[in-house]
Amino acid sequence: MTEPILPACRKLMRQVGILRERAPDFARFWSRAERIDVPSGTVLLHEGSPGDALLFVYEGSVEVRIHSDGGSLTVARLPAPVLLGVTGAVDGELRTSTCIAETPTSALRMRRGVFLDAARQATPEAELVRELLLITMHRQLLAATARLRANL
Amino acid sequence: MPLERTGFRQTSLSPFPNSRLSRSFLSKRARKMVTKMAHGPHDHSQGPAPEAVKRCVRFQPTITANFRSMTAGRPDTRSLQPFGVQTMPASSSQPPPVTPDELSPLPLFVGVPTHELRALISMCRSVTFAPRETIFREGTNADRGLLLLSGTVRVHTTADDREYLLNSVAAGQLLGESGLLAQAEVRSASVVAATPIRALELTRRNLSDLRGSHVLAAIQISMLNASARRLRQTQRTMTSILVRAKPTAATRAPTAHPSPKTSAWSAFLNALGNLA
Repeated sequence: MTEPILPACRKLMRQVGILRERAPDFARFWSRAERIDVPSGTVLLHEGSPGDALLFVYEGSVEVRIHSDGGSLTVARLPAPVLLGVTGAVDGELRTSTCIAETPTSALRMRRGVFLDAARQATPEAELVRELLLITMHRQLLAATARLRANL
Repeated sequence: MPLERTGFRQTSLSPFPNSRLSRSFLSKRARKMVTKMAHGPHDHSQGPAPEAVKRCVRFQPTITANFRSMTAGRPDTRSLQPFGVQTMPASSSQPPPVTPDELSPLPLFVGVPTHELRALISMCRSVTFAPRETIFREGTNADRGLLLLSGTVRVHTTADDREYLLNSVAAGQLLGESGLLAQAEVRSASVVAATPIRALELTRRNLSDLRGSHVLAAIQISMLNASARRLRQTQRTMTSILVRAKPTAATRAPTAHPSPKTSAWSAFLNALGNLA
């Protein structure tokens, strides 16, 4: 399972600012995940459902929608590689948006229990994933806070 | 005039006495003041020290604390603020040593072996703060975090010349942990002690030295939980703004080429989308 996702892992490392050489460690972390290949239009994560898994989309593109005033609003389009459901995988609370495959999409899905167990290990793979998630969440928080300040 | 006669012990000023490096650790103003004292007309044996000497002696613990902080972690001259002004004025008195028994009951460290807690304690500085003392100041360099062992702190931010209380943090939690991320830059909020504070100071170098340990895993998992909590809060706020401000936008996707007027809104939506 490691080989096909290595290019996406390298790209993700570059996006986050982590050395590309650590991509194999990141790929190894997903050895206990299941692979899913879905056609466009498939719902990958449901708003309001429990945060029971972490997804690593390594091929394709995802549309993020949230419910608003009886309808739904597209708030982002995220091309691979991207991690989905990070917050839910960490805290187990309900999902706050719906993610739909925009194109044929391939992803690795790791159940929350497996993810937490793997992330707590004192291994280079787990350290890398924790570091990557922390940087990703920190960036999201900074971007969101900046937007909030600008709009308030 | 020898430096000793100024009422200053050189060993307190610098970890590298008599070296060129020691001069670089002093702020320009402090160097000027020491030089003035060393070559000025005042003789200590002749009477009370002038104001400049009194000020130096008053700030001596501050300078010493800065040097301790710098030598304990990664040397970073940015952490040495202009004379008398510091980002994190740790108490000058030596706090009692932290023991593994204090750390092991914390939920954060459940299951972490005692020898790893001991290693954490040995490499981190223990610090104390008095009530109302500023621990982190908004806009300053973020290069360290604190593990609160006792006490409570208040986190607040300033906007339009007004202070807004964001939240309170109690013992057993990490504080200012964004400063432990390699890519963090400046503090986004100020932290003030609400009660007497006792804490362990963590630096990025400490985390790097803890690689391959369960204690690092415990700290990072705690940081992940804190980030998740903050993301949820932020997302709730953004969603409520979205629902209030743009009820008619439902079912409409962001346009491919937004006008200047709507680009800020698109950026808002993107930031919200990235929180998913």
